[in-house]
Parts: sequence; structure tokens; C-alpha cells
Amino acid sequence: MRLMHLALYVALLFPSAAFSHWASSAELSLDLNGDSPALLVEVPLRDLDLVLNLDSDGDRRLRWGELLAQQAQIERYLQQGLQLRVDGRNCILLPGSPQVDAVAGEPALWLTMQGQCATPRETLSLNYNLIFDQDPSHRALLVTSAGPTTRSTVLSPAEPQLQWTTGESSALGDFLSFMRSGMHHIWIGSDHLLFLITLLLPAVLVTSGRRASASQALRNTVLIVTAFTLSHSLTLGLAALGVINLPGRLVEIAIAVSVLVAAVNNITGWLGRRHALLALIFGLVHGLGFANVLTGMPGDLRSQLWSLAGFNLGVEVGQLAVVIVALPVLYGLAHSTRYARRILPAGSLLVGLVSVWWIVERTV
Amino acid sequence: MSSHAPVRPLRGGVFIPALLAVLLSNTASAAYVPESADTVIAELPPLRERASQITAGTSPTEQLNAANEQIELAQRTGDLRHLGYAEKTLQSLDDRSADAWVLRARIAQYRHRFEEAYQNLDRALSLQPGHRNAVLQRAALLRTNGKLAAAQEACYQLPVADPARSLCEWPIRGLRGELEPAMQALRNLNIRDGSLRLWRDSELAEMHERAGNATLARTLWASVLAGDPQHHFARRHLADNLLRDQRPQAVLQLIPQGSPHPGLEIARLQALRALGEGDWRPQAEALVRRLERSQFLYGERHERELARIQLTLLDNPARATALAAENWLRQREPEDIRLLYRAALMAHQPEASRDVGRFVEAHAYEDALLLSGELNT
Repeated sequence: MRLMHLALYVALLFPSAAFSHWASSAELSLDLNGDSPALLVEVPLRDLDLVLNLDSDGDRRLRWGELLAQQAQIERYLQQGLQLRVDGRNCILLPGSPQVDAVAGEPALWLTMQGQCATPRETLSLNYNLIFDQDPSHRALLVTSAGPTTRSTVLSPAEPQLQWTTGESSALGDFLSFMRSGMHHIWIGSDHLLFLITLLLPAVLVTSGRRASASQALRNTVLIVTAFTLSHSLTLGLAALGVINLPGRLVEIAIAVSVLVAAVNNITGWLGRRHALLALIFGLVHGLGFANVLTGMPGDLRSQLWSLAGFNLGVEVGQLAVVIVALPVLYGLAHSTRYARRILPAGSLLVGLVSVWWIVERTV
Repeated sequence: MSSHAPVRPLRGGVFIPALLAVLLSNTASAAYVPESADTVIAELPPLRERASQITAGTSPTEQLNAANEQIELAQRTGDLRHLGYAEKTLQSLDDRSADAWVLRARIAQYRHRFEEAYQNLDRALSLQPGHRNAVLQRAALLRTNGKLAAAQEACYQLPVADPARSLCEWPIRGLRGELEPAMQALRNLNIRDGSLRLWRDSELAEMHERAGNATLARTLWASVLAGDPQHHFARRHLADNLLRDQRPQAVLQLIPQGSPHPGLEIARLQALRALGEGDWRPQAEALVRRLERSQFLYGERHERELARIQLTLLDNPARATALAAENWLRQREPEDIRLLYRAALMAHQPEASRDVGRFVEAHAYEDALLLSGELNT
């Protein structure tokens, strides 16, 4: 080896400098929703050429005719490198007609392969062994769909196999996972929480500033929470399914404005006791905020609705937990006359200041 | 149905759909059947590049040369596949070859797998104590990780007469409160070897940036680039220098569209933004998706690039701060220092850059760019 290569000195000078990051990768989609498994395979043409020497005239420009001329060879290579076993038996994959697509911006062979077997009753495994012999850094991204479940797997020389076991439906697991996410989101979303609590602050009072009866406080709270739930559920659904699409920044600013309006109303009373109406109107904006995290949900409409329902239920449960804790506290505090005179306006002022800060922060 | 190991289900509850969307963003099918047999469906790399992989030599020396050639191709073209080909070639080499371990370390280093790189270099040095390239590379890695005293110490394993020892030692001393003496020492080095001279000039250019001599630095970067047009890192630093000098048009001339190097691509998009031209924002978002996809597929870390995109293109200093802080755990080069400092400043999170302050103080680190308020790191 030479004493000092150009590349080595660059490596020494900038040892961590970012490289091009587009190494070799293939993409696979395994669909287990039909009567038999269907596999969509997308492999970069450059990688296939490395293995099969597709560029027969050697001009380094691969033509469609050159690929078709070696279609049988390509199919054989794919069949050898992709082994599907269903319920303990090999399942032959029959290739369809080739097309051309792109993987990570590179031209790729696009081919569907239909399994000649029924969908699995118990187990399925897929072994992937394409390109690894030439490039151990090659990876395949496999997306498997079964019912409402979508899973991704990275296949590598160290982990070349997908193993899939049927059994207890994971649809429930997915639902619960999204539900947990919804709860998590409401608890970490300080702006959503602050809006709700700001609306609840006066819910324990009657117009004169005295403490409301327990049933009245509960009725006020139920009205506010129901209005908020209805409206944010509506926009959450529409936005998550891609019907509404507003810039995230605009939504975040509007959410901060909603907190400010609720706080100002508590102090000035300019909108009277229309807290439920406020919850209904601004809940629409908060729903868009919730949806930001769900945008781009994969899967068919059914699985999307299932995930959405789980997420929304999580938001409601999380919200309910907050109300259950906050309401008795507020109701207890409202016993004192200082609640209406000092605590409510001071708390609302503090909330207002925080919301102004958010507005500035999200606008600048 | 439920999946089992080795399936890697996406983790993180609510992030499942978001990440899947990122991964699947490339799979939205636009498959087509070409019009005719003559339709060109792919431009392939030169046969020479492909052949050098397939015909990896039979003798250990030939195999080492083939692997080294692939690494250099990766460096020149920015095409990471060549690192895979080099890795394949090295698989067949004897575990007792120190040179092979150094090359494995370089591959690991390029993939930002620093621990693996250290282990490979330790193997090389245990097989051949004082192995020149292993020593140099180990010092460079320690320097990247901010272990400056250990890095400087590592340089002393080289013979005093070796000019690479000074090139290894002085730039590190330049990071440890001796910027001016280090520049002087490098300027006084009498170097005949062209590669070493380029190395020296690159180090000097970087030091001039920190000393506040932007014009001198620019001249040096340009001269390095003239000596080695494939020097992508000099190109990026020159682009950053030009951006700081409010010359985005010159940056666009310097960096062609579609550069495979994310650092260059980011600088190009910054220039487009400065000029108010082109669809720089969707391009920046696409770059983020590709980096995240690469991170997911290959387990590589790209927080530095992602932080820079968030800070300078997507106007999200809070996200940039989180990414830069994550990057800071592994990389502490001057641009990492500036990146975290500025991101934290813009995000109004001074506590996030506390470590940077401690590092700067502990090493008496000098950097005019750190306090200049410039956004380009």
C-alpha cells in the first residue's frame, strides 16, 4: 500500500465528515391479505447488473431490451434469493411481468411475485439473500401487511429472515398502542391541557362568583369536555385521513391563540359563560394539532380508522384523567371567596402570559 | 397475527405511522413499462469501478489494494456502495493483516461507527505496534471525539522525523489554546509530498477560519480544491466560507445540483434560500427523509447533518438543539461546537450548550466564528 493516499489524508483531516448516505437498498412489500401471499420486489438495477451483468453491450447504459433478454435469468436469481415458507412448506413465488420503478431515487426493477400457496394459518418465513454476496452493506426494507397490521423489517446479512407467526390478532395490540399514544400526547401537550384547564377554572362557579353546586359544576364540566371532544375528534379524523391539510406552524399558533382567548375571557368575561362554545370552536384547532402526529398513516382505510379510533380514545381517556384530578381540586378551592377574586384571574393571567409567549415563539 | 424476532417492529407508539411514512415515502409506486426495447432505463457506473470489485485480486496484497481502491472510489464519488464492496473484499483477508484492520477501521469510521473503528485500530496496533496509518487514524478519531489530550499523545507514537507527526500534533494543539503557534508551526513545515501538503493546507485553512482570517482561509480552501478537485470537504468548507461572506451565487457555481454529499447539498440549499430561488424547502425536507431512512436501514448516525438542516433551512432551532446535543455525545469538532452553541442560542436553551462552554473553557479553545453570530457553521 502506498505511504499516504489522498483518501487517507482526507479521512484523517475530517474523520467524521458525512459521506454520501445512499448505500444499496431494496424494497419489498409482503401482502398477506389475499388468498395467497403476494410479494412486491424492487431491486436497484445497478445492483442486479453487478450480479447478472445485464448490460450485455457494455456501454453502461442499461436498455429495457437488455433487461427483457435476461428476464429468465433475473427470475431465477430472485426465486433463489427469496425463499418463502408457509406453515412449514416451501411456497413457490411466481414472478409477474417486470416493470421499472425507483428505490430511493435509483432506477429499480419492479416485480410482483405471487405465492403458490394459501395465506399462512400458523407460520410464515421469508429468507432474503439478494446482493449480499457482492455488497454486505446492502439492506432490504420489508413492509408486511396483514389485516390492519403493518410491520417493517430491515433484512441484512446478519438478519436475513422475516418470521411471522399467526395467532392472536395484533389488531387489538395496535389499537392499544395507538390508544397509549393518544394518552401520551394529551399529557405531554401542555397547550391542550392548559386550554382545557383554563376553561374548567370558571366551571366550578356560578355567575355571581360563588361556588356552584356539585351537580352544576359537574354539568358545566361535562358540557365543556363533550364540546371539546366532539370538535377535536372531527378535525382529528379529517386531518389524519388527509381530508384537511393545514401547515403545522399555523395550527400551533392558533392553538396558542385559543389558550389566550380562554384566559382573557376568564379575566374580562367578554364572552360571558360560553365556555362550551369556546371549547367547541377551538377544539377544531386542537384536533388539527393532535392530527399532526398521525399524518401519513399507512395501511388501508380500515386500518387507518382503527388506529385513529385508538388514538382518539387515548386522547379522551387522558383528558378524562386530567379532569378527574383537576375538578375536585378546583371545586375545593372555589369554596373560598378568594378563588373567584384572586385565584381565577391570577391563574388566567399566568396562562395568558404563557400563551403570549407561545404565540411569539411559534410566530418568530 | 403477530411478528417475532428477527422482525424489527417500529417502536415508539405514535411515531409508528410517522416513521413508516418516511420509509414508505420512497415506495409510492410509479412503476412503468418502458416504451420500447431501446429505452435506457438506467445509467450504470463505469465498468472500471464495477470490475475492480468483481476482480478483487487473489493475493493478499492485491486484495488490500482492491479494497483500498474501493474506499478511495467511495471517497471520490460519494457512493457508499464502494464501502460495501471493500468490506466484501476484506472479508476474505487474513485476520493477521494489520493493513486489513486499518482499512476496516476506515470503513467503520466513514459509517460513523466509532467504537468499531477503535476496536479495529487496536487490532491493527496489536499486530503491528506503531503502524503509521493506524496511529494517525486513531489520533484523528480521538480528536473527533473531543479527547484532545489523548489524541495529541497518540501522535507522539510516530517517529520524530516523520512530517506526519507534526501534521498530527499541531492541529490538535491548535484546538488546545495554541492556535497562533500551531499555524506558525504548520506554515514552517517543509513538505515535499503533495498529499501531505494538501493535508497541511486544509488544516491551515480551518485554523484561519477560527482565527477570523476568512479571506486567507478562502484562498487556502480554493488552493486545496485546485490540487484535489474531488476534495469534497474542502469544497464544503469553501462553500460555508462563501455563505458567511454573503456570496450564495458563488456557492451555486461551486456545488452542482444533486451532489451525493449531504453536507454539500445542505450548503447548496442554503445558497438557494439566500437567493430566494428554487424549491429549497421541499428539497431540504426530502434530504431529511433520506437521512432518516438511511439511519433506519443502516443504523448510521447523521445528527450533525440533520441538526444543520433544522437550524439553517427548516427554522426549527429546538429540534436542531436536540439533534446537535445528541451529535455532541460523539463528535466534538469545531463545526459540532458551533452547531450546538448556535442552535441552543437560537432555541433560547442556554442550558443545552453548557457542555460546549465547559469544553471551550477546559481546552482554551479559540474560534472567532463561535461568537460571530453567523449561522453557517
